[in-house]
Amino acid sequence: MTLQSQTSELLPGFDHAAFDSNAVFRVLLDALSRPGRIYDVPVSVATPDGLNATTTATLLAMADMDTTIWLSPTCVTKAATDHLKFHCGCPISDDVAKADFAVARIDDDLSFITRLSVGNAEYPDQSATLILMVDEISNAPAMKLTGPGIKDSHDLDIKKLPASFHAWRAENHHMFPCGVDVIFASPTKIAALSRTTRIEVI
Amino acid sequence: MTAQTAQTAGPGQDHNPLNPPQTKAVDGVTAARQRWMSVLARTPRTVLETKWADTYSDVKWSHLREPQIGMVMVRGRAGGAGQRFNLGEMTVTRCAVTLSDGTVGHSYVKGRDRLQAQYAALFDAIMLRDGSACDFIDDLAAAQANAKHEHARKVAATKVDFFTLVRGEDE
Repeated sequence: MTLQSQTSELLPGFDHAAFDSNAVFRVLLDALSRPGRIYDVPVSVATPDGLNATTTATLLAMADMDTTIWLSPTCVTKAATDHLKFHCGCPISDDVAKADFAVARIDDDLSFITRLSVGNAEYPDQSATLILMVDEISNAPAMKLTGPGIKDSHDLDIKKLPASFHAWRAENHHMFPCGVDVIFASPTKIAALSRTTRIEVI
Repeated sequence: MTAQTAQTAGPGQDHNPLNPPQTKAVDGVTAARQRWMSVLARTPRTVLETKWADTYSDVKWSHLREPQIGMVMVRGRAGGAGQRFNLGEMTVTRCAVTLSDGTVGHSYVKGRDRLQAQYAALFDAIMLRDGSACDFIDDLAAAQANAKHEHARKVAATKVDFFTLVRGEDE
């Protein structure tokens, strides 16, 4: 008998699918409700090549057959696509405009972000969510965030965030209620920017 | 049995233009695997559990996908070969396991018995690894064929043929 080699390198998903995806969902909800605040992701998951642990956990919790995922050229490894297809059953598209979740590394070419779906006036919820894999998130005063969910202001520092990102965010902010939400995913922590968050670069 | 699950639509029965006949060739390895997976899926949990405890209790394995309960649409064909229709949904449990050497076993079983799905997946993995459960599968297949034959025989004994006298007005 021959081994089914295409499935033999699959990694397990959540240990407890219901509890773990619940816990990750809760953290994502909190992170998007309080933009800029840094959260620990409370579960550990096996991580395929091309993704990091918090991104994998986020996608396992959020993606299913109704959510299209786009992976940047540096993330779209066979291990990553196999992992997502097996555990989430989600379609993986190479057209960034179709993505519900777009995943990229901070040092990738980020020019695709202007092509992300922003939703429309009737259904602003149909916009994409950008998951950016970053090395480090801290509360150092590099960006000053204000807006809904932030009492006065909140400091956030994402290493290697390019200037083009801020230009895009400023544009994104004007499209409310449409617009793209961003999740920063370091290997252990996440922070999010909702579409309403204003960023002032210090 | 004319009803079949959507996922395992029988080969060679598709005439519907919307669902062209499955041209994918089923090679020998796949056919053999389909056979043992179907035999395992029909085997009660206790049988699988006992055999596993007796023979393979020292095999190291882990869940790749914990047993999950869900539904599949069962489709039938009018008269066994006619128009396809949705008969109804049935509960199935699926599971995927991986042995310590990386062999992955899958199972889909009817009903809600998580352990049955888990053991069926384990035996699938064992069969893929070294085929050492071959005799066990053959015994199960023989027993299942026997039971089916026996049931068919009992049903056949109650068969009634109806005759209608032709009265001639409709040729």
